[in-house]
Amino acid sequence: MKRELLRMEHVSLIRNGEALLDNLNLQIFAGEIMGLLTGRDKGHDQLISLLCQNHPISFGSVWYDGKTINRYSYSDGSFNRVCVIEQTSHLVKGLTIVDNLFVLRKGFKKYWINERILQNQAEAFFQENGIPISIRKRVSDLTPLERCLVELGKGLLLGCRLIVVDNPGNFLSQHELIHFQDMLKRIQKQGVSVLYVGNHHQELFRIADRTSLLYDGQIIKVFERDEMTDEQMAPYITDWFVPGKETVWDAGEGILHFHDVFTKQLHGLEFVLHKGECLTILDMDNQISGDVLSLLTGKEDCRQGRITLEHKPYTRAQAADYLKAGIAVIPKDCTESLLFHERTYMENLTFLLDRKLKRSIIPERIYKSIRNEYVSLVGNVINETNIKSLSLSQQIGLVYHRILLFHPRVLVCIQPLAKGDMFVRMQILSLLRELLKGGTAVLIITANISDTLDISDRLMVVENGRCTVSYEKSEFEFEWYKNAKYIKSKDCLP
Amino acid sequence: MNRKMKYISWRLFFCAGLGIVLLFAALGMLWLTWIGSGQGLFPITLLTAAAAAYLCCMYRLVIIPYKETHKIYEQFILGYIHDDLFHVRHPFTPEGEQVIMRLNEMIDKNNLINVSKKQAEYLALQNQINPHFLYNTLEGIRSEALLAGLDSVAEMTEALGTFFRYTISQVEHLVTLEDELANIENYYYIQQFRFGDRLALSIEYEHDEERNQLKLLQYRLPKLTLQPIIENSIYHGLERKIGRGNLVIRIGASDERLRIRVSDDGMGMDEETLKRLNEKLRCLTLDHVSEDTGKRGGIALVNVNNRIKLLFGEEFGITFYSRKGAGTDALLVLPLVEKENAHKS
Repeated sequence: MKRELLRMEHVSLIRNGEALLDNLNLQIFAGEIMGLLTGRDKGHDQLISLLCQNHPISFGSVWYDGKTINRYSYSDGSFNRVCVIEQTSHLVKGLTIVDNLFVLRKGFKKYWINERILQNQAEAFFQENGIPISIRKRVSDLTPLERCLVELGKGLLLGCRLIVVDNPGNFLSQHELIHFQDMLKRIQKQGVSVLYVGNHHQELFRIADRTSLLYDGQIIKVFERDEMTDEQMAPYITDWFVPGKETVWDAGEGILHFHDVFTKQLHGLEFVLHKGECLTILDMDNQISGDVLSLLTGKEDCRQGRITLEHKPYTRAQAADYLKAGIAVIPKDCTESLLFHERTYMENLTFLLDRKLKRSIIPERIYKSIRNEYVSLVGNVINETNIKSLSLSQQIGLVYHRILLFHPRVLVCIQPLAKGDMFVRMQILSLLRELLKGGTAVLIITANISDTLDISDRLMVVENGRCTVSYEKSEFEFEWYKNAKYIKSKDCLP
Repeated sequence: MNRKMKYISWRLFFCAGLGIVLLFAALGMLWLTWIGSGQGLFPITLLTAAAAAYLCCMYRLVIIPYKETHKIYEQFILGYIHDDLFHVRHPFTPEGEQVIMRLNEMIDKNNLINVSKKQAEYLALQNQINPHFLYNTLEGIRSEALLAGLDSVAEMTEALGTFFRYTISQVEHLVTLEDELANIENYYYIQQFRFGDRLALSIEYEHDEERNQLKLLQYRLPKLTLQPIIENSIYHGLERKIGRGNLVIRIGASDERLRIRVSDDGMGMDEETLKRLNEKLRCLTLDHVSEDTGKRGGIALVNVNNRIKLLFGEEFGITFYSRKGAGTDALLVLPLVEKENAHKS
């Protein structure tokens, strides 16, 4: 019989006059994986925070594991037995796994700690729950997957009946994600529920029993198991989808070539990128992006193999001034690393203008012309002097507009869709389309391909630093899903 | 006198505020005197700590409970709650509590339920037709149609007769889900004469080992709960849709609740309309009784929702999920009732 574990009824959370959660209804059964697709970031953090701690709410009630824990009339601020696994680690890095599991636990009052007993207990517990972790490791030595598994084990040890997993696709590689999802399915069978939060519907549909769509602080649709299809989802994302003209790329000899390149993480990587083409590299181990960036920005040299740009060798000396060579890079945390928070919007936007125009003094009329051109694209935000006050969407927009203005030959994006909600992702895709239309070759390195397929012309799957399979646009959608099933069956946990 | 000061609560606040100011002033004076006299600070520190502890106690014992009660009153005024007013944990005075309980008895919830039922009957009997006259007339038409060899007319008349018989009689009863679904199928049969293949209805059951389809069908719900929702889906969702419209009724149950979801793949509604509708369904008000009868569909839904809330409690009722162009889901949540008189007293 289905048992309700969590029920949020008509929950509203109003802060400073803004309804962050608005008449929200959410129900999770025991032993169910409920997907939570976030259409906009609004309400996302507040919902997770409300699940963990009973903060005051403006209206409604929250019911968890058999009792009412929060009501509009009275909130006691207590913590609930809910475990959250997210990008930020909840473990203390300098300590061992056992210390994190037991010693830091609330209510642990022993003065003399017998580490061996605790280790044995932890080992037995992890084995019982099928969590494949070497318990003797220090937290700082754990891989992202191991860190998630330890946090999961800690949650189970503390008696949490609900595990909230927040966007694991953003910090786990494709391999790790499949392992982690298998683990979630395993604990699901023990009656533990999972709220799997994500902003890629395909990722959620693959694992969830039901999926709720959170949009603007409200649940606007609950997809049942048989409804979790692209066709059913389509009407809900049409507003966010910004179609762009099909880009036509030059299928000639290409701009950027990697010829059998070897580094620490690359083991014979080979690809060619054409003008106006978007190539997505799916990094199954989430390891190669650092090396590719180091090669392209001159921080490292190939141990073996070579790179050519426009059919000429791309040497380390050239790479040291990669902007001059026409290569631009957008790292994963682009808003932190590429924006100057003390400068104005216009100064940030025109930061690479001197490189483009190849002159150090730029006449005012050029700035004026840029301002006139971009005000219609970005609005009055162009006059902003404090870019810290901009929303995430506007900050990311600024980074991409700067690149559009610079108009590079090659743009390398590392996990461009890892941050932000559906709106931000659609905005990024639309800006990338603009770049492709202008003839820029775009190389995307990602661990999660869900939405990048929309703009990609080719998909390359890289495992252990080399390409294992490559798909053209016409075939990769179908083939990828078929292959994903294969990978899953091959790598599933014992 | 200030208008606010006519309320005793404001006067109390004023007095308490004044008291706190005086307390701080006295403490300040004492500190100054004490420091000036050069004596040890222990007694005055102790006194200050005692004053702080007193204020903390006052906050926990008075302010927090006052805020809770105040919030319940506020939500009642806005129409969001009904029952909570009569179960306040921290009433202002014993007499105030008794006054509210007395008022509760005077309002008599059964009267509200009856008003709600009357509304349902009124919707069915708008033309004040004598039911027996209606059944007899329909039977007459059916006989004539059979004699003339018009089988389809006879079938339609029979379906209409069955529908009215179910609709008009004994609105006060809780019926089984089976009966309610039989009425829906009959209603769908009538609508098919109008829509033909453009309208499709399917009923799906989420059953598990302990609860099969048969068991689900024996749970009870207020009579005529589903029909207004289906009618609403057809008129607002599917009528103007080009092409085939699908109606899906999905029935499931958890350990405590029966969940019925009516989905259509029709026009859907915009965010504002959805918000207004859900806002209306969240509250328990009888404003709809005096509303314009032209807005029949809306009234019927609010009425059904109110009836459920009055009978079973405010945690039950209808919620809508929708988006323009994506269809609409109406989720009806009810308690698991197996006996006819098992609803909330």
